Amino acid sequence: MLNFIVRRLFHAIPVLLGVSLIVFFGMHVIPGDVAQMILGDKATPQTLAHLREQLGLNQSILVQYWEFISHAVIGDFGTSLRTQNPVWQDIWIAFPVTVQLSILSLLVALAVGIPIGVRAAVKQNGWFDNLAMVGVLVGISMPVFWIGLILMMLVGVRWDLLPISGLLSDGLALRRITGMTVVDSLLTHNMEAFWDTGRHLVLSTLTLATIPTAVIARITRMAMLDVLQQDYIRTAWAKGLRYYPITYYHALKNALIPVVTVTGLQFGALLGGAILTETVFGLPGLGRLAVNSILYRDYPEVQGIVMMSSAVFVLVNLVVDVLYAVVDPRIRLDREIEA
Amino acid sequence: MSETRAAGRETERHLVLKRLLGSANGRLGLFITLLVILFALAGPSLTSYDPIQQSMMDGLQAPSAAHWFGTDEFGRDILSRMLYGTRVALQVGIIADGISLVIGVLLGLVAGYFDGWLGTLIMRLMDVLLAFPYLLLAMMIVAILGPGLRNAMIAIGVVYIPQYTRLVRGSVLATRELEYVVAAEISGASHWRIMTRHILRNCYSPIIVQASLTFGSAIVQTAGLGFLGLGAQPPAPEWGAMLSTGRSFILQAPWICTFPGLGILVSVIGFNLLGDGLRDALDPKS
Repeated sequence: MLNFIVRRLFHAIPVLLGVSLIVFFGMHVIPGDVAQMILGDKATPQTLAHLREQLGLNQSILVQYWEFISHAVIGDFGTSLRTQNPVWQDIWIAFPVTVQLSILSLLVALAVGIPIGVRAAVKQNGWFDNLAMVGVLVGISMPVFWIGLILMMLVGVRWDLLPISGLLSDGLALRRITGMTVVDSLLTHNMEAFWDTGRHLVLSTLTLATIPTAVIARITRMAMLDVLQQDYIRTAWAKGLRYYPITYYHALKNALIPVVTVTGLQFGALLGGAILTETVFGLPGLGRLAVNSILYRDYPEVQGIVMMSSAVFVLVNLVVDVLYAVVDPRIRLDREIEA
Repeated sequence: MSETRAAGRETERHLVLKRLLGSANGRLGLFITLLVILFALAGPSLTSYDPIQQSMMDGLQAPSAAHWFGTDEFGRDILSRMLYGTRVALQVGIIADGISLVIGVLLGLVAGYFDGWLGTLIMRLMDVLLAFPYLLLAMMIVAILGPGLRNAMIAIGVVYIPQYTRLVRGSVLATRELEYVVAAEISGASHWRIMTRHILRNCYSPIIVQASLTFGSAIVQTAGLGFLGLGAQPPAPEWGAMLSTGRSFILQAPWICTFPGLGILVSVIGFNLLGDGLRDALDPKS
């Protein structure tokens, strides 16, 4: 098992090196003077020279790449041109917001998507199945930013049930420990903040959960249809077991493997969705940070955000790979024989 | 000989169309797709309002007989902007999906056919592209090229390349050892001829299905970039950008945000249905 994890980790290194090449050279193929592009036409020669110095643009490109990658491995991406903070610090503040939103949405998607998929498969072609499949189609095709706006318009504005932006109401203070408001409020036993941030997160979580819920429901249904036809399920029915143990214990256990795969693959899409969701609901996460830095042409920050997110994404895929082995002993066995 | 072959192809096409129209989903998908194309082509003649021209007197009007979908903050007719937006969406789909299709298929063909170091190199490059979260990669490309509809389409096009490459490489690997390919090789056909005339022909079905599904995704993603302010810039009648500006008027004029989103949703549903329908029609086995 450990062998397998180590091997996958080594496989991730060239991929991340490739990512760093694209991120670094991408910013350097821009025709013209980067410093001029960042500062605009009104820049004086002095400020231009200063910025070039700050970005290290006077050195040869290979030296620059070496500087970039050797600092990047320890998480140092230089200073943000926009906020004047170290890039890692801006990311450090924004990242937990995105992680919290993504995890909550994924939990909602699993909690809603799996039962829908199971029920749809068990009653294949029944009214529930048909309704669920229409829902799945609409969910998969949904522009996240639009469903966010619609929820905001109806639930937040028209019915005035939930707050529509931010993470905490004004006047509420919360000590920062992890940066994830839900976790921090629990850690500090601040129940008022817990309920408040919970209410703030409902709409954004539902928005971001739309697509993964649909995808998970669809894949669960497909996997269950496959599993339910197998002999051991017929045996389980024949020996008189009931509906719940059969579907949720015997069948779902084997149907979960593709669900784990797809959930892992969803993570990349989830991050994209998070960027849009954060923009709709004004959440100070990584997505907002990325959009602002791009509009400001804050290259060090863009590089830092893209590198960081890709590293996390690669890591998540690795965890998913390991999870397979946990969920499905057959895979583990195969791989060990292979190794 | 060639006549029978042409006739065979004709019947096969006929059969696929029949199967596609035989399923309710396929029919609906095809119907929506044709509707989108129709609106894109005939849009300008269906409305008398200019999509860009401002008319401040008519600002923020609710839907009425004169303006079915209401007007935006500059008094522009939403319906007319929607119709022109269909044109933009279709163009986005064709260009973005076209970029990923052409480059992705070509790379996939080469990677599968020359399965040595060249193939490995291409596939490693695809691994790297897939290591970026989709939208973030697109945003980075836009950051490099600069915001705007054209660059957004290029960015989304690049993002979807690996999907085609993986798909085509897989099919090529499965096909290239088949007897008829070996026969073509022995009879002295060039690599290019074998790749395009013998192998590629056998990969058409999955490519067509992928193209239809990617078409929808490309429209949503490009609209997403527009919404973030990185795609089409105002006053262009692009659905994502329309939502972005309409956001500020969500209290007074909810209709500005409602209709462009519906436009995206319905057309993407159409392309997804068409893709699923085509998959069933082209490959009845699965």
